[in-house]
Amino acid sequence: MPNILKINGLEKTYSSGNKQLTVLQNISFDVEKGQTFSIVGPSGSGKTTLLGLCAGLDQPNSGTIELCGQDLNTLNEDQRAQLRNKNVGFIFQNFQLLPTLTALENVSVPLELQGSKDAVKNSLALLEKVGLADRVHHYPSQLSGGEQQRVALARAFANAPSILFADEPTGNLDEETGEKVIQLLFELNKEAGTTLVIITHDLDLANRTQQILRLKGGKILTNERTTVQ
Amino acid sequence: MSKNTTWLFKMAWRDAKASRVRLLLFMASIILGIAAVVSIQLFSNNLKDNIKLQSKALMGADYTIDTRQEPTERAQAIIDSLQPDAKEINFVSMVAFPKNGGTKLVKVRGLDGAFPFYGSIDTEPSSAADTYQDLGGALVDATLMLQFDVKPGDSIKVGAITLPILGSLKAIPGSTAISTSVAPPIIMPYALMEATGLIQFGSRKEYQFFYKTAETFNLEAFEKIIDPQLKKEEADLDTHTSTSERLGKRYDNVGKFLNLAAFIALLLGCIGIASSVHIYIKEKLSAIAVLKCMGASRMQSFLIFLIQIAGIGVVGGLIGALIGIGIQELFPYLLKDFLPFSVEISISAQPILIGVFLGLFMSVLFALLPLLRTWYVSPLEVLRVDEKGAQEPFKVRVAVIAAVLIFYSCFHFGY
Repeated sequence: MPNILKINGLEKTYSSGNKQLTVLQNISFDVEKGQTFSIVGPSGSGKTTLLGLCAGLDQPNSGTIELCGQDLNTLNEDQRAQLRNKNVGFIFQNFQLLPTLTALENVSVPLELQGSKDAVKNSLALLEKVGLADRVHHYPSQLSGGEQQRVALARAFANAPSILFADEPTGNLDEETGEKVIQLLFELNKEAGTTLVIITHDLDLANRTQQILRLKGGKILTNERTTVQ
Repeated sequence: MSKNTTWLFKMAWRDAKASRVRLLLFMASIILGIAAVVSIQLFSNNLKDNIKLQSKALMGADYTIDTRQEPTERAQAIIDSLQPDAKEINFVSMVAFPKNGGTKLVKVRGLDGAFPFYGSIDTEPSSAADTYQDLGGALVDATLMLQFDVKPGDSIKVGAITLPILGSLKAIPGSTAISTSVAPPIIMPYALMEATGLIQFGSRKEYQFFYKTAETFNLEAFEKIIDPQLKKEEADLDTHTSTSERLGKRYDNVGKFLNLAAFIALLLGCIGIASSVHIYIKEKLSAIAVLKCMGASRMQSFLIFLIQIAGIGVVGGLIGALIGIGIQELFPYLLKDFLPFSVEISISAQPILIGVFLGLFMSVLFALLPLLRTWYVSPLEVLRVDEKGAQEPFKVRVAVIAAVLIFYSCFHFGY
């Protein structure tokens, strides 16, 4: 399978006063198209920083990131945004729904940005798939945490992304709701054939993916395939 | 309209709908500033127009000749050759009300002839204005009558003579409630002035002669010839046009004061805009980061909020202009004691258009600095909030502040 994400010699440093804080050091790995991939590690290991870099939300100090065949270092902020709109979906720990938009409007945004004519129709179908057909006109504040994450799932799949990044997708949910959301995530992923990259603390969740990258102190500890097919 | 533009308007509307309370606060700042500017501008325009239109009624005649001493032989010859249609002697003196022994400093005006030729003397009863000269009675300022509890039929003692009060004087062309508050006017027949014994050598008195001319008469040319001759004789010629111009200049000062008030209201409005948009945008930064994360460009994120602010500026400007029109209707009542004429209010389109444009311009300009932050928000903020927050470059900030200062200077000095 071809690689959808290629990371080579990645390094990220932050300045804090006069000090330089190295968050990621010599990171190299590939993610195959259609693969489920998890990045695990303790707090402060650089997981979220790595996600930000992989998705083109931030830029590395050195190293290269190739996402969907495009070298992110050669793209400016707006070009990276365009690439994300066409190829990338996101799920966040704190849902990150737009509070002033209804569930339907939230799901429609990525499609509308693409200029899709069927934004509403497709969004309604996705909301129905995640079991929220009766909540389409509700604002995020009128939905429970589980419902909000399901809206976020529908939004993440709205633009039929090639790759989906999930940052601690169950971090703000109770165990039961979290499990339902994860089941739904894997179902939708299988159905759409999307590459899935999950950042998590949860080793049980990581073990449900095909490959696990372990980070510690900004360095790769291991990068192993699991038995999941 | 392209799909992208339609989407921007759609997003601006969706977000505005859900943020209406905050945006109404922002709109209130615009309405306050625009209402002040429009009402004052409209009233100033109406004041100028009314002074021009009512110039004859303000003077009561086409032109007058006045002198602070008994006219010299040469001046009298000129006055007589022009054949005055009415004349007056006036002076300030104490008068007494025999009914209750009250005394008061008043301006005694002895009139002869059908003055005023334009406008009218407003009295109660109204017939008193037409009969006081023939009946040998006096018209006494209405407030003064109230103050001393005298009524038509009572009498007033002016110098050596006592006159019956025929009516209360409510208004006479050329005088205001404020200007007559120190020495309220008493009008009596010119023929009885000598009998008061108050016109003596050394008395502070003024002689006035009133003239009515044909519509076609060239007053400007006439003034140029006659006025210099009268000046030499310590007399003065005033036409209704020159008087209205002088009055216009005097009310220009009122206009300047009102404009200063409008400027302060606008300043407060602008501060309100800047602070409410600052808070509003600060609350939106995480949503902007999400939009950018999903693929919105910097320009799209910026335009969504610019459209909102501009839309509110136009609507606020329009509401402010309409409120301004309403407020200007109150000015004639508030300022009636200072104005020697009634102000007819008319509405012109110009100040309303200026109001709407100013609403749009000031809202965008004063919101620009906080709005620029939307451009610099990093999509990374969806994962990690930057404690320093999005900050526009120093040069951009300086440019916007300079634009704001230029706007203020233009507005302030433009008036």
